[in-house]
Amino acid sequence: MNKVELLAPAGNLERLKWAIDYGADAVYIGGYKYSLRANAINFSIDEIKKGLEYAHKFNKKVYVTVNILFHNEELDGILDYLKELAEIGVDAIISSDVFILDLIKENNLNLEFHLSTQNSTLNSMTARFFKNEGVKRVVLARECSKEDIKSIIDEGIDTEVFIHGAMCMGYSGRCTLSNYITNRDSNRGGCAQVCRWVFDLYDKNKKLNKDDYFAIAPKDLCYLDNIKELIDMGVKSFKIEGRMKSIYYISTLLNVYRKVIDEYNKDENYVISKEDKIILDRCANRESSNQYFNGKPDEKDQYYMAREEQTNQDFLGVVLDYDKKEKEIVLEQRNYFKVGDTINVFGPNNKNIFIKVKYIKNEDGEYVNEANHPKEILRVFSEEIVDKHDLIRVDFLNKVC
Amino acid sequence: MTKIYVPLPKKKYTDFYLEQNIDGFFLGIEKFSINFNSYVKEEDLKDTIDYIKNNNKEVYISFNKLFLQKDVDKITKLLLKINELNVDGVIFCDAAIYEIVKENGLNINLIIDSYHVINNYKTFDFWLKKGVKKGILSTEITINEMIEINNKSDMKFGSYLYGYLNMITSSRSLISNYFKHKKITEYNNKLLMEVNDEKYPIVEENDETNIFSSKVLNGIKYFPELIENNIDFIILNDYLLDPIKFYNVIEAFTAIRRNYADKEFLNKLDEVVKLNTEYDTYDAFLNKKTIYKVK
Repeated sequence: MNKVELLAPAGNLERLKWAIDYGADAVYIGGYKYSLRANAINFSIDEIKKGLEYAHKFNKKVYVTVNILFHNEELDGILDYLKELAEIGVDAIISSDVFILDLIKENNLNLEFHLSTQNSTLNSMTARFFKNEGVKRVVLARECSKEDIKSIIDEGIDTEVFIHGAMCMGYSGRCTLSNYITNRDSNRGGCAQVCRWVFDLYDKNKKLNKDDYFAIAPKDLCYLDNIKELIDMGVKSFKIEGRMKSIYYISTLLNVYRKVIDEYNKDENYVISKEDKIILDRCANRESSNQYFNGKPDEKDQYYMAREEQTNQDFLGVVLDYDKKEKEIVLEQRNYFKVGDTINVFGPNNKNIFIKVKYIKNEDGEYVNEANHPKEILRVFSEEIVDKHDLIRVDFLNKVC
Repeated sequence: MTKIYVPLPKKKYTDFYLEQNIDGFFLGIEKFSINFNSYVKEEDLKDTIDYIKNNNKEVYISFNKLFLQKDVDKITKLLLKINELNVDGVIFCDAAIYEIVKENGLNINLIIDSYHVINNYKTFDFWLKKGVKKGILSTEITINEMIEINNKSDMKFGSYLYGYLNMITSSRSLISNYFKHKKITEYNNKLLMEVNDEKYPIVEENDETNIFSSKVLNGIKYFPELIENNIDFIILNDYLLDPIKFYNVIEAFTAIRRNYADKEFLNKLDEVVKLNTEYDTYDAFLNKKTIYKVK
């Protein structure tokens, strides 16, 4: 079976470590300069170096996005930056501005080039062009159907496919709504997500929407049900979207996809569980679909009221330690829970433990009935041993299954 | 002298536009081009091109969109056919077009359309090294950036100076999806979406949806600067505009070209264009930089 890479986003060094711990084979990160997601914390060269050291210790890879679309004013300094990235040994850069290919060749830089999804590669001839130019891997447009994906794989170029996360409404790189409507450059890290706004719709002077709005926002992407097909097709890397997303979101997704990929590698008849689907659904704040996989998305794959996002307080805390003597989980609280609730502990080792909360102790050793102070250090009784960096969530699985 | 190109209009207006002192037409072909008021059918291509060439104008065919795998064979056949016709060039933004032309050894001049993604001279130089001799500048860069690109690259450049500006292309059917959701079966495919008191044209055709600037770019006062800096061509785009009003626009730009040093004449014509067309016009990004970091 094709050994597929699971690639996770990391907005900072801490998240990079979490992603590696939760089963990512590789992470993609942005530097302070030349990276979209200008609002993510991003990495200094020193931090990239630290990230590389951490990842390489576990035989994992780090790709650095250099994915803005450059204006003349950004050209000064890019060569020095690429040299620095090459010197510290990043595993690849992800970029779509093709002059960087020239810089790499002309300066004989030891940098692997992955063509960003910002190029919107949709067909085999585009992929062939870039393969001939020395591109090692193409991050496919999210508009590719399975036929498009297959034809590009057949070109013999490595393919990276987004399997989960937010979708752009237009072709990536070809959307400048943000530029025109907010004067923020979407292709230089300033995307204001105008496609998630609401609008009124007119036919000449006649307003067509009455008591509601016109919206163009897509639902999220989820390829969970298509994972086996994608592995069999020969996709090289499965990418999770979201450099701005939380540790809980990324860890949860990695936890599910890591398990599913590993199970398929062991048994090609593996059937994805109902629980895994529920976990992914709960984790995101939008509904999802497999979008373009079987062809063009239809009216069910987008929203009509723009931000129809559901937030929840599922994430209860982070395990800091397990006190074997007292049989207590030491945790840092995130959201409210109380004595009598059942909590669900999960982690990188396929752990999925359900614990009825008998008591809660605060840092002073006092018993409290409720955990209602975010970041407070608490103790909860557990017969079962849990590990540092396991995560704790609401027991929604037993409630809905 | 800087050339002026316009999209080929509907047949009944073609002669009308030919009267003007423009240098050539951009042709859109159904299913292979976007944002044209009128598309030429494949079977009419030869006759259309012959007619334009007989009137001593240049002809460029625009493949100004991205293509799916199912399109590749059709594009290849069409490019083989175009290779036999008397066209001055093919405009492309998907590298697939370049690859097909190269692999089939076609004798076609290629013009790269930046289509939002090429905003610097080094990226144009990448394509120049591949043999692409001309490029269409992005509509999201300033006049100074355009001139800098033109001065620093040996490629020949053109710039949009009039018309609605494409803000986004989506392969989703955003208008029909909305009306299906509403269970409404009769609707137009060209509408306006409004936010913050600005109305943006939204058009669904050929399986895609495009959204445009709320105002019409009018760069007439920048035209002399582009002429002085030896920009190779400008494009006046009639998409979604009234052909008669657009005729006035062509007339004004061709007049400026003859008298580009006369500032008073320029200001007068700028006013005339505004009054005659009645469009809400603006400079777009010609004189306005976008914000990079939002922190």
